[in-house]
Amino acid sequence: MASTQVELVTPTGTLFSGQAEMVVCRSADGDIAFLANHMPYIGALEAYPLRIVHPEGAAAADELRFQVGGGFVEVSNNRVIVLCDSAEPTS
Amino acid sequence: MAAGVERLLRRRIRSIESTQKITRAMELIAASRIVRAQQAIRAARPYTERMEDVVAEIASAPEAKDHWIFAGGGQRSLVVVLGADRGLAGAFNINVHRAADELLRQIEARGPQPAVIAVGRKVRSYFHFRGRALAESLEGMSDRPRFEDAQRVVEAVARQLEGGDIGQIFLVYTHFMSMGRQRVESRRLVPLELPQRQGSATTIFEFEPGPAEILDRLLPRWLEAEVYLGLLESAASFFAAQQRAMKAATDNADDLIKTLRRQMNRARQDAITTEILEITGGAEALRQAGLSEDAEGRPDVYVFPRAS
Repeated sequence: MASTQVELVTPTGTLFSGQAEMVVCRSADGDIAFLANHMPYIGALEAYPLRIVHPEGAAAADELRFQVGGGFVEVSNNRVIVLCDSAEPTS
Repeated sequence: MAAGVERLLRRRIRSIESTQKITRAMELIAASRIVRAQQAIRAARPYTERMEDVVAEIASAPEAKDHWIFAGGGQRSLVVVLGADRGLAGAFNINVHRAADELLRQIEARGPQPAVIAVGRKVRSYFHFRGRALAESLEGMSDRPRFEDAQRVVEAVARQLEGGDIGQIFLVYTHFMSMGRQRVESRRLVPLELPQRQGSATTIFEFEPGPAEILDRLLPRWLEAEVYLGLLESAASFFAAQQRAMKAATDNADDLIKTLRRQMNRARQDAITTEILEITGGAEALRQAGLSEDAEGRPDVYVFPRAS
């Protein structure tokens, strides 16, 4: 399955950086999912659980979940960058 | 008399030694704090850089060009000065104050009185001393800045923006280039100058919500990111300056102790020499007195034999 580069960046550090199949989050207009080669997109994020589905190198975990505070997501060149002022991993 | 000099010097040496203990401790503490501050900078930098990327991407949308971030459009300026709460850091605070003064002079030459937000107790007391009114002053965040501190600063900025007519925002902070190099910078945040993009191959983005609304939401977040990095770099620079200053103080104390100890030893030597001279002089006098008259009749007087 094609994958996309995903980065989850907060002021206190980068929480995730690697390939994944899909990223699901909630933008101002509702839930949105990014697959590989999504068109360029910039959106505001709501405080909501963020899911990184099928990340590389994690056989056990099917997906990573993070509770993110508000932020932004930028998608370009098969790269999803999530910027938020706080993010907590949840199981 | 000579013993008095010796005692005086000894007391001074002891006092310098205890000061040196403090400066050495501060030097070591500052050194360890730099490491932690550098780690915080490394952790925060990607966030700020990505944030700048996003702002730059949005700028490529034609309807975003007129947004306040890029266009400004107010008479007054707002200057945020990031300093420190404490001193004993060499020229750190002085450099920040001087750069801020310079910037404020330039702004005042062009237009109305700028609003100033002071971060750090030293900044506040400096401007207070110079008789400059401050819009707001914050403290308690220069040692170990957290992201919430940057948020507090941006809240203060937002209050000023609500006051109205602010068209420019400047940030005065100390850029941490390396352990040995730090430089105070006065950076203009608004209106934001964008680096020239190479070529015309700008990506067309889909915005959600529209570019203008995204910029409205992005503005405080982006300011937070810039202020946070500024706070962290200032903190690292503060500790670097403090470490240098305290190392110089410790070395100075070493030199001073060496000189004073030499003086003290000479004073002691002088005292001993004088004492010996007095004793031998006295003995000589007694011996001569004993030769002439009744030395034999006085067993409590020991007469030195004549030196052969």
